[in-house]
Amino acid sequence: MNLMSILTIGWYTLQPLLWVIVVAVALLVLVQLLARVRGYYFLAPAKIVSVVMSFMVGLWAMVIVPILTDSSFTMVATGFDWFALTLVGLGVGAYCWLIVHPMIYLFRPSLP
Amino acid sequence: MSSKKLKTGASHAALTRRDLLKVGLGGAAVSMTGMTPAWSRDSNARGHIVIVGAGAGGLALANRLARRLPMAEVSLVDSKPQHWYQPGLTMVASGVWRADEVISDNQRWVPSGINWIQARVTRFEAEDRRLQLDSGDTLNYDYLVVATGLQVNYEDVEGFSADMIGQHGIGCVYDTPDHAAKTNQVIADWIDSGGGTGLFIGAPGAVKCAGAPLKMTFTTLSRLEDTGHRDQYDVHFASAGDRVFAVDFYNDFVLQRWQEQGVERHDHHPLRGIDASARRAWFDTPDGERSMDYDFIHIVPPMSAPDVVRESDLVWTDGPFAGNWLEVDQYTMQHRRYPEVFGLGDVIGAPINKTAASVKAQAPVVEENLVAVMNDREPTAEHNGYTSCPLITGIGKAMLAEFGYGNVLLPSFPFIDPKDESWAVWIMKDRMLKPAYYAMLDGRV
Ligand SMILES: Cc1cc2nc3c(=O)[nH]c(=O)nc-3n(C[C@H](O)[C@H](O)[C@H](O)COP(=O)(O)OP(=O)(O)OC[C@H]3O[C@@H](n4cnc5c(N)ncnc54)[C@H](O)[C@@H]3O)c2cc1C
Repeated sequence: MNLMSILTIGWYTLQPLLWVIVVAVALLVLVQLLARVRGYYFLAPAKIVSVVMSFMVGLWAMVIVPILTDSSFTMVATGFDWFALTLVGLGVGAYCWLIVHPMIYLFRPSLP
Repeated sequence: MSSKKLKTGASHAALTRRDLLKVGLGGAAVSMTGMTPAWSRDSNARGHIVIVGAGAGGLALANRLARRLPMAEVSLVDSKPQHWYQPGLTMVASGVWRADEVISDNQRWVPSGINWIQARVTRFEAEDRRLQLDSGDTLNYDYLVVATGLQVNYEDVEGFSADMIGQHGIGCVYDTPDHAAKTNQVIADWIDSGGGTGLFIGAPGAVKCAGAPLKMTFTTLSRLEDTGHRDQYDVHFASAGDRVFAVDFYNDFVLQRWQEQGVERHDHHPLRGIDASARRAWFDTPDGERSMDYDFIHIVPPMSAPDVVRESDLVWTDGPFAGNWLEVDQYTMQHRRYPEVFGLGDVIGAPINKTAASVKAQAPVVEENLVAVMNDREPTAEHNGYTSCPLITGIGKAMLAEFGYGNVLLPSFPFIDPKDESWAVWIMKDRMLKPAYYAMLDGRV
């Protein structure tokens, strides 16, 4: 398969999810920009609540994604299934952290 | 017969920017080296190519040729305005997808620069390189690609016709979105009735996606198990022979799993007919005629090349495909008696094949060999019989069966074990194969 094939398949796969991707990116950019205005920076001390919350959301994604794909958690069986599902959990968890972490700065009453 | 000649020109006007770029870059390369590269010579091949059938195969090839042969005239003949993503029909009949999820506008896939003739071929006149169309027109060709798919011979099952699907407990996933949606409904009605007998019929011979009858059995079993009252339903599977799948591993796997799931099997039970109102099926068994009563039946009728192909000179005249399928060399896809004719997709008489996955593998072979013949070269590209079936073993899991001639396994992904049931393979079926199929229609895979 050449690059053009991969891009074409990728495009058709993502098409139905385009609006989700656009909303997710817009939310990320908005929260990051607003928080930075209030003094947030990427490596700002991680608040334990943002880490715990992202971890929980990542785990929740690992349970919910099989259901969203017309399947169920019990059908996740092979090593590759677990690898793929773990990637989903990590991806969703990381995204959640990039939103929650700056939000904490955004809503805290005073700057550090 | 009309002698009116159809005008087939005007197809060169709409060269895409990519085509022009390709020709331009090619020209620059040629002028720099002073040599004529093979692909450039190939691209200059001329002649009128007619592709009959704008389904999976016809569209994939039309898109490839539109890019590969800017100087040739390509006509695509098909009257069907809609394109159906047929591998999604099992998902529709299992209640996982809506019927409209498999329907798109055919126009969307027809490349610019191709002359789409919205008619059906009523006669192939191979000796004269001529086609008769239902519009009354005549179409001459220099090269012909037959990609008409196959025809489902509903009436070969006594007492059955396509309009019965969705009534009297009759389902049939073949081969329209409407049939698939009605099949889902009768299965749901049967499940809602709280019990009874479900009878699933195996492939009576060469059919498209030979795994579909098994998938319908597996997904229905999932739905029955989900009721929590599986024991109130009897499930039977009747095969024409003593196998349910060509490859030993999958055959044994399915039989073993069904034994565990309480499916009662009946080997050597080719379906002869049904009495729809009595909900009774008849089989011609080696021990004579046998009947079985059912509340729900999933019928798989015999299939063949469309009559217009069967009644033409292009059909196999001897061997196992005689009178039923298009004669081609199973490797080069070239007709064995008419070298300017190629076959693509379900219509061909060759072992296994008859899946969109096979079309994906065949289209580049037909493209290469057609271009070779147009350039007076021997066709050397070979199809290895590749076919693939994400064998759904329950709603939410599947196995990726990929194999070729001789039933040799041909796995594409080193990280997916073809012998394991997997959620990832289900996702492929549920979310990724349609995009891959559409990329194939675009001629990109
Ligand atoms: C229920 C079901 C499940 C399937 N599951 C899978 C799967 O999981 N994986 C997989 O790879 N494949 C699957 N397939 C098979 C796959 O869809 C077919 O193999 C594929 O569509 C074949 O492509 P084709 O071009 O040969 O035929 P088609 O796509 O059927 O197209 C044939 C075209 O020819 C046209 N035509 C016919 N006669 C004429 C005429 N006389 N003149 C002009 N035009 C004509 C028709 O209108 C049609 O548009 C499944 C099929 C079904 C029905």
